[in-house]
Amino acid sequence: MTYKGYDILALRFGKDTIIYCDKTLNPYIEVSSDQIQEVCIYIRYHPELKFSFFFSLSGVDYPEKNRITLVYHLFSMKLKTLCVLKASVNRNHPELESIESVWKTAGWFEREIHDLLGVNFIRHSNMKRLLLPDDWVGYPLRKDYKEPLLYHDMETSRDKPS
Amino acid sequence: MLKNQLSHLKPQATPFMEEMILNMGPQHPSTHGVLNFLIITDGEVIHQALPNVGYLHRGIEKLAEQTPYTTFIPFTDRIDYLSAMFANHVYVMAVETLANIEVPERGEYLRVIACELNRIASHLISTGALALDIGASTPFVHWIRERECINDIMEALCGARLTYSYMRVGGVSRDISQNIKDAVLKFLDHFEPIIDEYNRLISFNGIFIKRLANVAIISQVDAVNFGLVGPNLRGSGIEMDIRRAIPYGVYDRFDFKIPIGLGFQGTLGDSYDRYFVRILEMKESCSIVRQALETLPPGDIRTKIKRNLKIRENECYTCVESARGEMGIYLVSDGSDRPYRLKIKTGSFTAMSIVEKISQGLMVADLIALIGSLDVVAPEIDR
Amino acid sequence: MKGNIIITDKNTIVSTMDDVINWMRKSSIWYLLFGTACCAIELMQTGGPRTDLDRIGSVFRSTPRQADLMIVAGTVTYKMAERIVLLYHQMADPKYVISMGSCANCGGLFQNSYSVLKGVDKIIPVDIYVPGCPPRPEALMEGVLAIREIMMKENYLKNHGRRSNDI
Repeated sequence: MTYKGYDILALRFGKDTIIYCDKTLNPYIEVSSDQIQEVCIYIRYHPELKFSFFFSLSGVDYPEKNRITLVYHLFSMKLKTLCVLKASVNRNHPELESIESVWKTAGWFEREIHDLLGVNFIRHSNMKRLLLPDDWVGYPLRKDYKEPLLYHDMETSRDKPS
Repeated sequence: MLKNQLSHLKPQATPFMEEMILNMGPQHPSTHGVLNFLIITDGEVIHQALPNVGYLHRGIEKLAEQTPYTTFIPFTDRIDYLSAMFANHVYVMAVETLANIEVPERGEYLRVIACELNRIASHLISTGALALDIGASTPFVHWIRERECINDIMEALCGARLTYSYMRVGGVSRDISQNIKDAVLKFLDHFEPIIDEYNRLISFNGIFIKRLANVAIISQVDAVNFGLVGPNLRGSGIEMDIRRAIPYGVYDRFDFKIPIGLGFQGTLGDSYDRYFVRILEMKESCSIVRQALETLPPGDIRTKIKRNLKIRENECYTCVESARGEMGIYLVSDGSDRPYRLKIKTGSFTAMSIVEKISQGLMVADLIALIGSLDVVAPEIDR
Repeated sequence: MKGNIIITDKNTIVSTMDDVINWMRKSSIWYLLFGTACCAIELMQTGGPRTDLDRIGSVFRSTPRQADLMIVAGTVTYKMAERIVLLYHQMADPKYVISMGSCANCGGLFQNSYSVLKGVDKIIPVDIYVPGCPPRPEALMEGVLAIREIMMKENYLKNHGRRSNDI
């Protein structure tokens, strides 16, 4: 997202709550985790921004910082540009406002992240595991995940041929 | 008289409201790959269809964190086996963007040729399987015959029929020879009239139109809200194509149209529009391949890169227009020789999430038409 | 068929019951349409023109109760594995299993994955392993022909289709 777009956002939310960072290839805007829903509504419907396409939502686990960062990729047909929003939550009690009400498709992305990284999204309509079976233990995409030896009496390893 | 007697016997009975829960899949010929639907129906009318995915979740994103950058390419083939070239492309593009590697022009052109041929092959399966799903098995066999021709070309070009691994970081693996060029041109000459023949066979067939037109209409608002991409989004009449919106590679040098749904046989955004957009796209792909072959520049096909590629701390998001719409990769590097985090965003994932909403009030047989016209592929949903 | 006596001038073949039954069985192997991943596309191509499984009497069935042969085509995850066992037990005896592709054989490319079963032979008995990732249609054809050979060697009347390696 361009700096101009950031200006519009900063006017509304203040420069100390949302931080612009252009060290990476796609510059991103850091948003505090309790404001993410408001920012998303604003950025989607603002007549000069119109980031109406929701591209993806990913979660990244940083065990040494004890944080899980959620990365939102949005796209605007009007500006023909990508917008990256980042919000990070505590790794021990990961909780965040759901943005399912802004983009319906975010609901499934959030369920996937709940499934693989264990983040809880508040006010989500159906916060259940999406990909893995319901009785799965642990969150595989966390860096410290260890595979169990058995799952429902099926071995999880195979001997190398001798 | 009889009715009165019955009502006397069973005062609470409501003979026309009887909910039934049906379990469709995961082993089912009509769902594309292993999908499971929990369908709550009243007779033939669906009240709700709840998709249950994850039967093919292979943990590719976790495997990426254990695999060096250059050796991850074969895994990307398996994300979407019908159009493996695009997954190859988006992954190598992400690595090239992060490592700042230039691709030679000839390499880019070869990528375009391979991708567009693959788009045709993928649409052949998707349109053919849609016809098969709703009960016409002849078109599918016709399309499989054409697909075999593309498979032969791909085999000569990449060495594999299905899982190509053609792209390399910095270019492509093999150059195109004059024989293959001739074979491609011969195939295009043969294939373009076949599309019209196919249209005569099935696209303008009255029964086929009745099964698809005005069925499972997706409005423009819903399409954007549910994050539909690619032909599904364009079927609803929104002109959004990553090749135009965020140009990548050398796509800005080719002249091609972006077909959108116009309500060809019914309402805008119905199953027939999504189907017919794919047919039109195949023609465009043929034209792109021709243009690329005509203007194919000489030179290298690949930049030499270090064997042990290490990328300093950075992140990027790249996306391509795959056969199922936008496919994106969010890649985070941390200075080592393997990704810190790799997130794959696919078109089928979002397409699947709309089924729950659109299926309400459809007939059971129309659900098949909806899934077929959305062209979902199970491994792309689950990864 | 070995050991047959052909009486040409009377248009007669004298053979054993076993041979005749096995010959009939092998000429109509109906396989369960059970594609899980990439191999399913090659399975489709095998059924399509060019390779054409139909010419040896093999057609796909959508329900396990009508199938003799299960072709496990592709990666098997733990979530899917329980369904495969269910489907396998729904098939009527005698039943055969082809494990198609590296993933079904041993986990293949996904052997380090947390959610993939490392080889379908951990849950159901497998008769033929077809290697490749994915195998070519010709390779799968070879696998089906191998199943035909297994069928011909069986003593059907004695065992009534039950097989010793069944779980």
